[in-house]
Amino acid sequence: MTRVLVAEDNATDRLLLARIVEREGYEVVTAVDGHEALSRFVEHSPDIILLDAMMPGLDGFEVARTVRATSQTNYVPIVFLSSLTGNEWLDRCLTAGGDDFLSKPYNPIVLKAKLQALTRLREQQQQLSVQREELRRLQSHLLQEQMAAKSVFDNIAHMGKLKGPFVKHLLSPMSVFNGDVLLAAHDPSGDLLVLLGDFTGHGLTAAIGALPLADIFYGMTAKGFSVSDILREANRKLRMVLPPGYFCCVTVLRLSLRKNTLEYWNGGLPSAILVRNTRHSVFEIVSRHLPLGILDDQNFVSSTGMVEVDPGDRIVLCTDGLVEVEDSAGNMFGHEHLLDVVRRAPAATVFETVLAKVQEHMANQARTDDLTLVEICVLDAVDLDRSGSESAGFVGSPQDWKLSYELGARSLRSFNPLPMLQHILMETPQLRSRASEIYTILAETYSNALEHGVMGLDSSLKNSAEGFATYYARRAQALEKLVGFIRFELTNEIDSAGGVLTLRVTDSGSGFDFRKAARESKAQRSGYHGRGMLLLYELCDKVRYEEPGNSVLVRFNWSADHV
Amino acid sequence: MSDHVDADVLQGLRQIMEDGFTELVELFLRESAAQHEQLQRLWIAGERETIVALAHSLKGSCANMGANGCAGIAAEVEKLAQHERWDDVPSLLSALEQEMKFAHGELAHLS
Repeated sequence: MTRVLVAEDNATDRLLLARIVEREGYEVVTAVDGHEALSRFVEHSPDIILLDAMMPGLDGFEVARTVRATSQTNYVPIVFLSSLTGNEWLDRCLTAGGDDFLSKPYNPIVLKAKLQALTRLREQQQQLSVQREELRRLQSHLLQEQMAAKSVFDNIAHMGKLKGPFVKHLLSPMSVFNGDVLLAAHDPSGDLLVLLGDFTGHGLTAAIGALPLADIFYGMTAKGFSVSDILREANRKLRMVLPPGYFCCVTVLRLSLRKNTLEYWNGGLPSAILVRNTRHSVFEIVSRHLPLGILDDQNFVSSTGMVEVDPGDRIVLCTDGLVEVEDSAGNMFGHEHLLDVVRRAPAATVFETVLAKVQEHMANQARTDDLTLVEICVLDAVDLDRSGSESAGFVGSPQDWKLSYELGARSLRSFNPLPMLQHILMETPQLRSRASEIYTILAETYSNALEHGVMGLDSSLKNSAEGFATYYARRAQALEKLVGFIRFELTNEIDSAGGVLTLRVTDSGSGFDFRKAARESKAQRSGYHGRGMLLLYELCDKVRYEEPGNSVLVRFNWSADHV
Repeated sequence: MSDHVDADVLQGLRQIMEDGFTELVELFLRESAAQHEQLQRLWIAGERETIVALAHSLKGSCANMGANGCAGIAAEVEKLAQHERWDDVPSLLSALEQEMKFAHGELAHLS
């Protein structure tokens, strides 16, 4: 039942009014002055208040203001009772929060009409309040879900091996979700792969594409796939899942600290900047491709560039949100400015300097895009992760086995056998803790057989920076016209102390003067072309080339040197 | 009778109040007499700021009871007091006393 509070100091009027209201079927609570009106209000929570404007002590205006101030969500209509006339008084009633007036002498019909109208108003207000509460609950639920999804998302899209001292990064999203993606992981050989992506749009729509991208990146990197393979697969997948008009600008880098090389691919992101510590120059990794998710597989170009790097070099990556940050006059930060800042910054604080300059530039302006800045430092060496060694539960797994696997020209042109071979080798549990060394041995022997053996490329080209580029250009050409084969023969033997993995790689080439190469390799340890061979000598307890130089046999004692 | 109290208003009040009609009339008789007495006291004591509120209250209840003559004089007192024109107040207060006697007489007869 609707409850009406009647606050009136005049006893006759109070009795009469209470009776009129009661007769209309309302429950009545009365108060004789302003203070009592407030305490009755708190005590009985009435639905409507009939309030005398002029009461001794606390007058009706004060009561109305207090009621409005204390029950903001629960709207209680107020009718001022007064024989006061004149606009000034009516205005005071409205300002204090009144909804209507009733003048003396009381007219029961008019009062009935007002009470009915206010009851409807009250019901609508209550409905609104319930809906508002429901909306608030839904909203908080939605936000909660978004936050939960965000934590899952952040773990997938913004983590990986980013916690080392060699990678600094800042991701600042426009909304809960960031449309920028930063992925980093080591491949089995210990190379660091970094992917920076910028999806079209912001928020959830932009973030959703990051999940398949991260999945592909981490999955394929762990299995030892090449940058080209990863890009091709990511492009194919994103083209399939993203709506038309949506795509992802991406830069992928593969940093090999063993070989001191940086492999790169940029599709649509601002140029990445390689700051050469020793030569005081910068090299720009310019976008030469379309973003991922646009071209079909046939037209997608996944060929990468390669540049040599030295310890102390730094690579600065950013999304266009950083370059396009505007100052109060609407001027963008700009790529040239970024280059300039990077060039002038002290080597140790490139990242911090860029950030400070960007913040200075935007002053108090609001950002309009997701903004990501990454700096990767080329270290002298890297500690390879040998964790994950499993010592128990070898029953039912391959132990002593032999495998011969030969690839013909067609396969060699387009197929990378390393992930598959690595996978087979990792089926033997004892080999898992040595995964990165084994992968390196496979990769080195394979690339030697392919590039020098089958394709006959001259490795001495790689001695100079220009030759380095030429070498990779020729390699791409030669690959297309390639004829011949490569054969892997793998043997795993178990003994009481551990075991030995033997690998023979034979190619169809005419062979090379391995004695001379070995001498040169030892003479100039810093040369790039000899690095691969040196690495083999370091990792294996036996490396034997066989006449006429188209076959190499390496012996890897995996029980030894196990830390 | 019925010169001083509106018969139609009383008829309406009877309908609304039913058994409580007598109670209402008696309450009005007591309260309005007390208010009138207090008005005179305030005037003599010179507490003039309170006169407005009291005349206002009396005006309202008189109007509700159909004592229109009383209501009219009380309204006049309220208005003059509001504008601090005190000269005519004493004569209005005695006119009010006279009119209330008539109205009270009619009402007392009813209850």
